[in-house]
Amino acid sequence: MLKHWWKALTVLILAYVFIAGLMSPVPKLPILHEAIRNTFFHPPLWIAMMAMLLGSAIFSIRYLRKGRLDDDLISVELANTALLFGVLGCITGSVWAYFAWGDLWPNDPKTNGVAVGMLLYLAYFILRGSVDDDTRRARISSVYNIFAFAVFIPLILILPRLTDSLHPGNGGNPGFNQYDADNSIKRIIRPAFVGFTLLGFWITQLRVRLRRVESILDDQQELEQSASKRLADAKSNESIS
Amino acid sequence: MDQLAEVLRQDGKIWVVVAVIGVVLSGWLYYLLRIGSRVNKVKQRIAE
Repeated sequence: MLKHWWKALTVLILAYVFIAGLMSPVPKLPILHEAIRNTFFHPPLWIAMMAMLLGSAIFSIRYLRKGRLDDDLISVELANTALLFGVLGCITGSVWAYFAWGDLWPNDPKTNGVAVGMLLYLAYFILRGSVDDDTRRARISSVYNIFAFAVFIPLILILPRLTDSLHPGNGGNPGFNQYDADNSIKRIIRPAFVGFTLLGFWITQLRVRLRRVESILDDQQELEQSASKRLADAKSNESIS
Repeated sequence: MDQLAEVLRQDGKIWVVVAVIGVVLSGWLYYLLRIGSRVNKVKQRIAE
């Protein structure tokens, strides 16, 4: 039971975020109106995605150092869940942008950077799918994964801040902080960052456990097949002699 | 589509927040259901 305290924490934080995010008073801004509440649900997806990609890169490094296939498995599944959060971030961003900026996919450095980043990670999965040998696949994709993370972070965190961007807090565009004197946003968005990230790791953990069972089953099946083949070989040898 | 947008654009835009939450929750649900169907496949393999 003690091992699961963080799951209880996730539930509590998410319950707080969703209830307070819809009910609590928010700063009054033109155009945005109530849609400012999206700031409790859209940015945390990206924070969770980045946290999981960081975890994925760390497990890739660990795989390269120790050579355990289990680390590679955790790394892939973290990237998988991260991609889900990224896709959700794109869709929610589109919905929000349509009503706030008037375009489903505004030509913004941050959105375009994210599009490139997502393609980088799609290439990661294609790369994995194209190598048959387990250890080779793990080694090549681990190297690529570390490289992809090193490109992804500048693409979405640094480059958008160097040019003009529609996103608050980027390229001379003021963040929400200046309207947030009473901490009405920070009070909810910070727990949201933690809650969404924890949920991402929770979902990933389920997939990792499932994949471990699957790989044990695969190993057993292989053993059985090779054993029955050996038996058949022995029998045919007997009949010849 | 335009009419829908007009309706949604009126008033306080709380519907945008509802739509965003709907997307997030249904995305999570989809992923969890997929994990569930994979669990079922493993169950069948063990039963064989």
